[in-house]
Amino acid sequence: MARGKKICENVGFRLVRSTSFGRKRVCLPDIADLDFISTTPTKKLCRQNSFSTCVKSHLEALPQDILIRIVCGVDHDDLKRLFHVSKTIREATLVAKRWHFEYSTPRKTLGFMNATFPLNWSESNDVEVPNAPRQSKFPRTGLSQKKLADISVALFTSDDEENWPRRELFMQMDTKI
Amino acid sequence: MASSSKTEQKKMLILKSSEEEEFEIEESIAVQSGTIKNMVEDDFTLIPLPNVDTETLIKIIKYMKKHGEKTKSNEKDIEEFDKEFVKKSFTELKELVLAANYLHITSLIDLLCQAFADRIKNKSVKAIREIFGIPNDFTPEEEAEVYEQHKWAHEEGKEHIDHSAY
Repeated sequence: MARGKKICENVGFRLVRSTSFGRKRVCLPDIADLDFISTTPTKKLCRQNSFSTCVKSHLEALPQDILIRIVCGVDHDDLKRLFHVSKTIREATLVAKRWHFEYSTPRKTLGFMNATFPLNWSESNDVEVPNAPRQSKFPRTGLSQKKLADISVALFTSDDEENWPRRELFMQMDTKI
Repeated sequence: MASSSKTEQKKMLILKSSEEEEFEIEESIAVQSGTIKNMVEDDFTLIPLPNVDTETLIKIIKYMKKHGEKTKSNEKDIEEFDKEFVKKSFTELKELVLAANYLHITSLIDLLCQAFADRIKNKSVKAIREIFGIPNDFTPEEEAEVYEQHKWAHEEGKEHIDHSAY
């Protein structure tokens, strides 16, 4: 312990008596020296810098998955503002928009709270979002493609003769009615 | 307090903070943390948590104890507790959410993230930057490009973009 104290004094450290059960003395650096910063770098650096620097970058220091969870909790209208805050926040907003706001009505509780939170964002397309409305590229109606083809009319005239038989069919149907 | 009729003792764990402070906690309560649960399954009883400082660990233990006693009758009580729990400074909330993330306490992560979200709501871009200390890293050209690419977010026009913040 004495040797430890001597080393600390030589590099300008001061000792703080900790109240831990393990009776371990914690050395706090007076001089900002990155070599001595170990587990909580941001915390120790804050003690060296001014308070204004310490307050900065609270949000951006968080991992992206937490940022995304936070953004998912805001209202829809706040998204547009978040877009302009910073690049990091914009990225999180983009992902949150895709994940949360496109698949559920924005509300306070997260739509995917019980779902497995994917660690790899590239897998996101393979994960089913709970309670998501089914989205498909083609509208689901009671009509099959064949039926649609029978009653559809080409909106634009073309030289393609295939359109003519359809038109005739349509006219026939019209007269029957 | 164990019932006198029960012979089994509640298993206790020791959680050790990054500052080597040790805290005793019932295993049944501590396993609300996925990380701790995994270590218990590997037969650990002394759980070192080098990523969590003492102050934060005390708060987390308090949260787990409260939520470990959850019954149908005290739901409102727990809701009140949660409301008071998030009335903390940004630094504290940030340390808590990082620790909750490390410890995999899903309900606490959600509670804290929603607390952050509630502080963002209805704030202007400038206010969000000031409150959270985020510097604007867009150049004016990039800002204009973002506006063009994401017009969906600007139906009301440019009034929400605070150029004086640059």
